[in-house]
Amino acid sequence: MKVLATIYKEFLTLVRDPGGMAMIFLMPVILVTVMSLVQDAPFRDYTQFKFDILCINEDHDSLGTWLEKSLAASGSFHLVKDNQGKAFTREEAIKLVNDGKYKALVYVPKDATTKISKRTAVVVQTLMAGFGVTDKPKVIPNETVEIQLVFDPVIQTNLKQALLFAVQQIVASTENKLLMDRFSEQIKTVTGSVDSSLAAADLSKMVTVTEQKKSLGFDNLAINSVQHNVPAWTMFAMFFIVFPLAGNFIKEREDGSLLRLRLIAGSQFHFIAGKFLFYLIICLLQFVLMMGVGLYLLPLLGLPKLVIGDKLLYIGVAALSISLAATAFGLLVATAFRTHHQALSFGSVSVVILAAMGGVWVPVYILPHAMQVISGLSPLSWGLELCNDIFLRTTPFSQLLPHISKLLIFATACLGLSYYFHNRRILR
Amino acid sequence: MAAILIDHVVKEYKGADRPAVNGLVLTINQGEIYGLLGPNGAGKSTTVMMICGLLLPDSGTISVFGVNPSTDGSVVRSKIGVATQEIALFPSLTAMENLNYLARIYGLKPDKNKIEALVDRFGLKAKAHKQVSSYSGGMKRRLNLIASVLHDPELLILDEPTAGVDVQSRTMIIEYLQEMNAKGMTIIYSSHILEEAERLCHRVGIINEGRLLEEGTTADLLVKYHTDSLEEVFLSVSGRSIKS
Repeated sequence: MKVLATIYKEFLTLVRDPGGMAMIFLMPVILVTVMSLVQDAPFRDYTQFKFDILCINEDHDSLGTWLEKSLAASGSFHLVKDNQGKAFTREEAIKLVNDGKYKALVYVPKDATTKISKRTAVVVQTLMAGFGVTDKPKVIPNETVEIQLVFDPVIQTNLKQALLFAVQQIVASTENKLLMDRFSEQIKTVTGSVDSSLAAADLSKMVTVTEQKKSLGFDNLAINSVQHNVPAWTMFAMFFIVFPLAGNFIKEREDGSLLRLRLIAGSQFHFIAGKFLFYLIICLLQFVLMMGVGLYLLPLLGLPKLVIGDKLLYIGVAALSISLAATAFGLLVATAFRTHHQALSFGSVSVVILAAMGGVWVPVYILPHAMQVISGLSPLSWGLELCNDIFLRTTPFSQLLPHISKLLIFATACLGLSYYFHNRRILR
Repeated sequence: MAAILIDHVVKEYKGADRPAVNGLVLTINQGEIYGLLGPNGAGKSTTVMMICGLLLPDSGTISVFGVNPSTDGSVVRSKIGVATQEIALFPSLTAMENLNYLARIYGLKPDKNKIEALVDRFGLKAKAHKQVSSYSGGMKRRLNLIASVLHDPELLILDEPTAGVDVQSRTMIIEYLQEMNAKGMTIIYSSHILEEAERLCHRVGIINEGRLLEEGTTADLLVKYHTDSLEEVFLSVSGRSIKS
């Protein structure tokens, strides 16, 4: 009864504080929405973007033409070949890239196809000579063809790698094609006919590599801005409960309300329990609200829908564990510090540090090794990993237990310390 | 029978240059209104906190209705009500919400009629459903007093209960205390408003630097110090220099 009365008292206090309500519910919604929108681009697969790149094809033959067509067909690049009908020179193009006007330049030198053709002819003739059907080539050319790529200095490594890989793949494919063409010609010269299927053979597609997603239980599942930011900033918002909880607690201590309760026999446990349970409920509501943002609001803004899997019970256990840890941490800060200013300064800075350590800003796997080790000490990291395990990895419950246990041990330790600090403060 | 026995109690705060309470010996009888008088920093509030069991004495013993508050603080606190100098209420709640909540925390089933009668008695009915933050100082003091007596305590301790209130509020509070005392409630009245103490208290004790310097009925003290003013007695006992 006393606990329920305290929960009701806290409810009335909160609903009469529009600023507090906004901080608890509105700010996290704005935070998670803005962060998901802002970080959408860096999280996206680069094939989803179309970058303007310059292309100078001085070859005007198979290799250059095939490279142009393939890059254009990839969907990732928009090829710019001239400026209002006037072709760029190599020097002009390099300057434009250096100036940041374009992300990259692909330069195919003159006679590139001819040079490759000569070399493939020699390779094929050498092979055929091994069968005794032709003479060995008299001259072996050693010319190489250099396709040059120039990048904007500020371009991200991912995009650089993507273009480099695409060009290398197209060149390899062209080399194969030229080789097969030359083989066909040689066979025709020797036998007078050629099997048409040989010319049609595409060596580049002998082995295909595909990602198997269905075996995990979800289709087309990958970490994206929503999938990272919604759970990450939900953790942040939940641990930021330290702000209203400690603020409210210390304000009541400073304005004398807590003294009234201290003067009432046996009220302390019920009061603390009621306050703790109220903010625990708030944390759970924040979790539900944030998930709702990921499921319903963000898709309306053109972002992917949050995938939460189908294990609602696991999600409930995770939400409760994280809420317990966050609320207990808030209570610890509320009881450990004497003044409003001390508690709120420490509380906010500590949550920001724990969030940075825990991979809220950037996923832990891209942090340096030392930071990855340190990250394991942050309760926000445990909560985030717990969410990822449930949402993305379909991990069995037994494998969730280490994260849940860590959160519960953290909560118990915080509550124990809160009890110690509170008692030390009320009984001197 | 003694309601409170304080025997050679010493309490010193860390870092202080002298004890806040220094060998205090005091007896307060059941059914009396005892005025605990002294300048700022005399040790009145520390004494009150030790009586409630919220501060532990360094040495000496305290007994409240035969119970040691240092070891059985909860038992003692169930028998006493304290109207602190600070307005110990929840400002974002209304008067009714404050009193209903505190009644539940006292372990009582909120008695709507009793609460409404008290609110009416102290002239708060018109604003009973307004948030306490909108109240005047006098209204807050009156509500603070109601919050202290919700559980019908045997002992009521008042620490500067009329500080900063208007004459009407002060009169209302004094009359209520006299009425409660007539029904058997023991009252400790800690104040530096000496006319009130003179008007209300059966006995007064003047403490300074944590010691009881003088004690007796107002009439006895006036005779002893050959004056007609308790203020003169107070100044003679506690000195004329300003205390910190």
